[in-house]
Formats: sequence, C-alpha cells, structure tokens
Amino acid sequence: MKKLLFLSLLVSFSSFSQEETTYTYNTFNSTRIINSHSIEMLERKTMDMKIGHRFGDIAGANGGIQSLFGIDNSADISIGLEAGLTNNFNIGITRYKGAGPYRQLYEGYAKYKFLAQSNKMPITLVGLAKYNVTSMTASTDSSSATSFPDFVSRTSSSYQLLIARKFSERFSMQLVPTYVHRNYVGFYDQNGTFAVGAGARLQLTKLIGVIGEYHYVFFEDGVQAKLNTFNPIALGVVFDTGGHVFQLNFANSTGFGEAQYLPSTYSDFTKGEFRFGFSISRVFKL
Amino acid sequence: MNTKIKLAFLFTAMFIIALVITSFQEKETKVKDSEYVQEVLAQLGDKVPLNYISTNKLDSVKVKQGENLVHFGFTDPTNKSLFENKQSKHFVCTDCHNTQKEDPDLSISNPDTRLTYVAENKMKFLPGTTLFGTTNKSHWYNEDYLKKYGDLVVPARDTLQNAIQLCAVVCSQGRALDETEMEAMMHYFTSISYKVRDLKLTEVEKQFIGNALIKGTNNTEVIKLIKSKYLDFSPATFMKPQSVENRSFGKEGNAQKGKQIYELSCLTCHKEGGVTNYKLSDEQLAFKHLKYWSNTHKVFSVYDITRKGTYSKNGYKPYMPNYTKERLSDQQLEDLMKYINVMAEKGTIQKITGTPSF
Repeated sequence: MKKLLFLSLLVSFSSFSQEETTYTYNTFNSTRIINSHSIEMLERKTMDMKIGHRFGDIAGANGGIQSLFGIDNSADISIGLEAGLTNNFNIGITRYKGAGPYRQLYEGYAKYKFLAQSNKMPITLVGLAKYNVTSMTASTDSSSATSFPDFVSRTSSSYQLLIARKFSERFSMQLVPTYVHRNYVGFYDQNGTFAVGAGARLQLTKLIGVIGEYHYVFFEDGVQAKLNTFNPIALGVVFDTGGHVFQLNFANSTGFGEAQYLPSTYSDFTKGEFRFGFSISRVFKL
Repeated sequence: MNTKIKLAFLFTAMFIIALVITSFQEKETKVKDSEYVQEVLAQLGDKVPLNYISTNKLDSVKVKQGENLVHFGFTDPTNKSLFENKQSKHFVCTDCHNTQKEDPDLSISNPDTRLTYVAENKMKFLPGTTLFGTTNKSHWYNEDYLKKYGDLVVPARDTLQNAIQLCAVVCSQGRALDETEMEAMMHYFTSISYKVRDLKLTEVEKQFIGNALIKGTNNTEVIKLIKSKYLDFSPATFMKPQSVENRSFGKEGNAQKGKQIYELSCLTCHKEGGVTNYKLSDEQLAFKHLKYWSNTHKVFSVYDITRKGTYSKNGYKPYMPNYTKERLSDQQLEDLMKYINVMAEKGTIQKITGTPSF
C-alpha cells in the first residue's frame, strides 16, 4: 500500500514537472506605470519612442483659470528612445527638461528581466539601473546644489528592483524598492535615498485601464521637513490601442526620472498642487 | 518417415514459390504509395511543368535550406548573421500557410472538412492554401485574387517562381528571394509534393496505374485519372461580409467548432508575440471586446474584418489577409461568434477549471 502511495505520488510529481510552461503576458500596458518603470520589456528587435509631458499645477498659487489649470506651463518634458537587445535585456536613453534642482538631464538605463511569471513562478522580477548627467550651466554660487565643481558631481544614479504579479486578467500590482544616489546635493539634503513604492493597474476593458502609484521615501530625521518635500503619488488612465499606448495622468511630482521625483517632489497633492500629464509610446519593429 | 519428410519439403517449397510469385506480381503491378505523383506523371509521358525538379535529384542541403526559409525567413537559423537579412521582418510563410496535407480529399476544397482534419492532425487553420503539393498545381493567385492584387497576379498565375516572388514582396511585405534561396525553396516544395498515398486511389486504380507504368498502355486515361484526384489550382472566391440582417451574432453556431477556429486561426497571428499589435488571448476582456465590436463596429467587426482583411500602410506594414469562401465559410463565422459570446459571458475561470459546457 505504501509502495502504491509512493508510486502515485511519483507519477503526480513527474506529471507536474512535465507540464508545459505558460507565461503571463500583459501585466502592464507599457514599460512605465506612471513615473516608475513597469516589469514590461520590449521584445528583441523592437524600439519604443516615448514622449512625456507634465503641465503646471492645476490648483494652488500657480494654477487655476489664469493658466487654464496648468496647461500654459510645462513642469517637465521628456523624449526618449528605448530598444530591446534581447527579450530580457533593454536599454534606453532619454532627455529631460528637468524639474527640481537639476535641469537639462540626459539619462541612460539598462533593464534586465530575471524571472518571468508563469504557471510555475508566482512573480516577475526585473532589475533596473539608471545613470543621469545634467548638462546645465554650473552656478557661480558655491553653496548651491548646482555649482558642480567637477563632472562627477553632475551625475546621479538610481537602482530598482521591480517585483510584480498579475493577480487576474484585470488586476496587476508591483512593488518597487529603489535606491537613489546623487553625487552632489544641497546643504540639508542627503546623497543616498531609499524609497519603497507600489504601483497597480486595474484593467476596465481591453483598451482602457486605471493606473496608480505611490512611493514612500525614507529621509533622515528632519530632512524632509527642512526641504519641504512630499512623497510622490500619481493616478492615471491608460489607453492601449495596439501599437500606441496613451496615458493621461495626475501627479504631484514635477520630474520624470527616479533621481528627480523621489527626492525632489515639492508639491502637496492635498493642496491641489498636482498636475496633468500625458505620455505617448509608439513601438516600432526593427 | 522418409516420404513424410519429402512431402513436407515439397509443400514448403511450393508455398515459398507461391509466396515469391504473388509478392513479385504485387510489386510489379501496383503503383507504390511512396512514389511521388510528379514522377509517375513524368514516367507516363505527361508534359513536365516549368518548376519540375526530379525527386532523384533533390539536394538534401537545399531542401533543409528551403524548409528553414519557409519556417524562419532565412536559410540557416544557426547562422546569426543571416538574421539581419531575413526575408520579411513582419511575416514568415507559415503565418499564412501550412506545410502539410490539410484536406482529407485533395479534389475538394471544403473549409468544414478541412477544419476537422487540421484539428485532428494538430495543424493550423489558415487563410492561405497549404504549401504541401504546391508544385503539383499549375495555377496560383487564382480567380478573385485579381481583385486584390490587380495586374500583379498576371505573371504569377502560371509560374510558381513568380508567384513566390509576389508573395515575398507584396503579401509578406519583405524582399524578393535571391537565386540560391529560390532554388532552395523549389527543392523544398518538390520534397513536399503529393505522393501516391495522398491521393484517394482505390486498389483497382493503383493496379491500373501500375500496369500503365509497366506496359505503357492507356497513358492518357491514366494521367486523366491521376489528375482528377487533386485540384490543379486552389479556388478562391472573395465574399462580401454577410449583410447585417443575415447575421445571427452567434445565436446559431457550434461553440466547439468556434473554439477550434479561434485557437487554430485567430490566435496564430493575434497571440502574444504574434505578428500583429492587436493581441488576443483566452482572457474574458478580449472576448468582450470582440463581442462589443462585432455588435457595433462596421469595419472591425469579426464579420467584416475576416472577409475584407486590412491593407498595408506606411508606418505599419503587416496587414490581415482576407478569408475566401473556400478558407472560411459563413457558418464557421457564426460558430466563431457563438464561441466569442459564450466566452464573453463565462470568462476565463471556467476555462481554467475545466472545459466550459456549451
């Protein structure tokens, strides 16, 4: 009897191990949630052109009907090109107008997929490293965060782990621990900053989804109060038309890159200091 | 004792002789199942076509190259440098064509029997005619394809090489094949041409053909007989989408057949990683979208898009081919709609835990 039990167990195990792996697709609609990257990758030999725009404050001192709820102002503009070298390895370059202390930024990133969600794996795990250089003119005021004594002080970098799971065909969620290191910062500020973020997507129909994300930034005691920064929060709607992905969002952060929106978000969402933004992504086959 | 042994010996000897004689006769008179049809026709004195390559002269390297070209778009998948010179970056031949026998009876082009046959044999249900036996045909881009490609089909209709180039440049939106690639392709196509076993021949007919091969009598009749067993062109009738009044929107259909069409036909291109940006899957959202559009949309409804297809545009080259009457029947479309309706309501959960009861 014992032998029989063992045998049946063996058979069930072997049948389990022979099961075909079916991967989960379409966890998020594009390679970004709103601010942060999503676990989605570009396939080999595809290229993605991304244009992002953040307008001015909708309400608050700079918003209201005077600036047509922020449409007259632009907080940040990004234009970028990304490519899939393999299905699991992507690179990209982006130019940012820049918001916060550093302006005129160039960013390069590399992204690698370690694990993919399937019937045998509960999560997708992606690693992301970014490197930023600012090309702005150095300030003559040596106490300023932008006085840049050398090239290294113009640079910053960020490292992220993206852990995501598609729970059902409508709901996906992602956890994002981030470490940002800026080589040259203002007097009260800190060079290295940790943050933990979460993003989610709720797909309403095949074409329309609701997305949101929030990051909790770990500042040292008192730094956040002195700098008057806030944790970045963003909500949006995404339209996946097949080929194009349009995204309309509302965010309290002004900048795009991790080195910008995590440590340098100065707007309070609750005071109406959030802005309308959009991004357009177009995928090409090479 | 002695006589018994003698008798036994005699009987066995007679038995062996009888066996040898009968097997000899069998071999001599019936045409072999493994014989290529084109060789039989050539032996009978039928005029060989322009694309004729004797199966004895098939080069196994070229056959393999041709096979790779059809399945991957370049001649050698182990050679990475060739990848850059892929024939088309959008399609490979097998996105629209099978490479095996897809009709149980080669003399009839019927989408209903074909669907059952390809489902049984784990093939796909595709808008293009199978490449199996394409060298046995004498016309390509037949009938209504003139409406779609105009004068381009004129040189392609009677010459296989021209038909392949038209498909390479226009249909797959890629580049024309070079000389070595074309030769490899022709070797591969010849290697997958009809054999005697693929034709529905009775034993008597096989005997008849075999006799003609040996004795050289009744050749014209035999050639006629063989050619009546398969179509020498693949008929193509373009259809207008069913009028709105005639659509049942899935009320009258067989969901099990619809499931076969969805999985063997639609998902070939519309799966993740497929050639198109409009991705479908087994998710309920996808079915709901298809159902919604089929009830409201005039251009992208399942009824319209399958019959009309789409066209290649600047900036987005891949396009959807239209399904002819011979490749998808109106009833099959209703079956598909029935499946879409069922899945839009029942969704994925039933699908994972067991087959939904239709």
